Amino acid sequence: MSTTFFLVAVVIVTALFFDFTNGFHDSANAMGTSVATGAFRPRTAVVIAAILNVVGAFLSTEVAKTISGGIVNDALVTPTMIFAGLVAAILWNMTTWLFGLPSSSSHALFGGLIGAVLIGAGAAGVNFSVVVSKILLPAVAAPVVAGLAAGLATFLVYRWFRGVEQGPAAGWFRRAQTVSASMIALAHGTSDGQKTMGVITLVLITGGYQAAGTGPQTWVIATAGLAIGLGTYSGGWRIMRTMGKGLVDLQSPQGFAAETTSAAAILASAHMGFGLSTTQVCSGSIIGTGAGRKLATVRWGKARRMVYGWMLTLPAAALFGAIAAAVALTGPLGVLIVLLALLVGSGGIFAISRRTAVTHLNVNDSPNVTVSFGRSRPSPLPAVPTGVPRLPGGNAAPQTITLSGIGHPAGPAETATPPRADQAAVITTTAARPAPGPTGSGPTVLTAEAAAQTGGGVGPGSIEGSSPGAQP
Amino acid sequence: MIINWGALALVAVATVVAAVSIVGLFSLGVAALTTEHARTGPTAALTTFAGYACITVSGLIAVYGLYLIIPQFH
Repeated sequence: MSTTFFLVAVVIVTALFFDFTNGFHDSANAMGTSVATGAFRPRTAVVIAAILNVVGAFLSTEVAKTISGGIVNDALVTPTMIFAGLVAAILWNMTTWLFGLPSSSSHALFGGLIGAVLIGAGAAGVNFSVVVSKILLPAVAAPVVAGLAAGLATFLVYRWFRGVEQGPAAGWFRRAQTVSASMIALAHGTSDGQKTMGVITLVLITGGYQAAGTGPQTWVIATAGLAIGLGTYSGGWRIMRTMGKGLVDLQSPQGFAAETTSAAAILASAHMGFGLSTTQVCSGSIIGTGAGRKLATVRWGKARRMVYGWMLTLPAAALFGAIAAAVALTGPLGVLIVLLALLVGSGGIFAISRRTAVTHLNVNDSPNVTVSFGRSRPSPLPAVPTGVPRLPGGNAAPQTITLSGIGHPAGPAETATPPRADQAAVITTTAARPAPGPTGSGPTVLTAEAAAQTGGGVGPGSIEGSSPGAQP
Repeated sequence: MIINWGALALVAVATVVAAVSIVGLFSLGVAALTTEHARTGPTAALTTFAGYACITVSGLIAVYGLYLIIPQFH
């Protein structure tokens, strides 16, 4: 087996893996709002989105001729750099998914490539003015445009038509949502499905396995479509929860307004020459539709953390990409090491996510995506309310492990964010009342448990394994 | 650095106009079909017709969106 063949095979597998993460990261864009308002049952939603993604991937004939649209100098890019960029993008996608954070998969890929090219080819390989005009400016424009449009549409609808959210009218809006959500899923398939095909085709051409100037082979189209479809089907429920329940409490007219706006913005940007990120368009629409209805709750804290995540995406992926490239460019052994790091990293993130799993069964149960880094405690906190008296009106313990750091994958920096008032109250009570409650049938056990909770480093104040600084 | 401000403005305007008109039109149709006094008033048949007309038009706009998405059509 020659080194070239090995490298090409590794890049193709990695590209398909990236495609998979792209699918589960972005299924929430199309379906998050529909799942939240009940327009689709969760399982139905991902099946439809997956099918439409695959169909879209097959429909799309115009495969990307360049990997990055001019952000990096494609002539200087080697398969190893592409590999490093893909690894970085996958790891960033997995990290943001763990925190339930909607972020752009394309930005992650571009960031990874930029980092890898900076290491492999120097600053001359990166076209920084294109970074500004094709990434940074659209990143600001997308949520603003979508937010304004969705906000205006929502505001006018609720002003003109009273009671649109009730009874038979709500049913009409839910039915309309199935159409608008499907449009987003199809549009997504045509755009993102072909990105991976482009990457694989270019790597095949560079490796001499395909004639230059030819389009993607059928097996490339099939596997790339399948990878993004499988990713979409697997759901990405953590991000689905944030987009459907976390940012705004949506009613079906709002869901329809948000999805229609997103579809309009995506189509307009694709056909009028100003590309906008699907994720940022959809998130902007959702926030806009929340702000456009009186009495609607927009969780601005979550929205702010999401924006921090967007700002981090490019530099963080670039950093990952630079490290991966530095190792991978040392030779086949380096490539193997990076591949191993990718497997260990994504496996580890998946393992952490299993502790506080979000699935199609509980996606709508809470607006929060929790992350638990504690060791050997599958679910200790729900045990607390049995012994500690519930606060009047308080949602008690599950709220206390609420991830307040959705935008801080880095972790420890999280302690700077003060908990919300209600959480603070719960934390205080839990900490201040470790003694058994009135219903306590086994006082000794409960005391020990509560003590472990507050003092053992896994209590509410030390979510994410950080220091107890989150105490009010 | 070349920034296509014109294209950005065009996308922004198109998005706002499309979103407001589609959502507004569909809501108008739904209101005509579901509001109590519109269903029972003297012009009930007319409002029902108008309601379905509004929803049909928004459906046609969705078909146009489909046309835009599928590259084989253009």
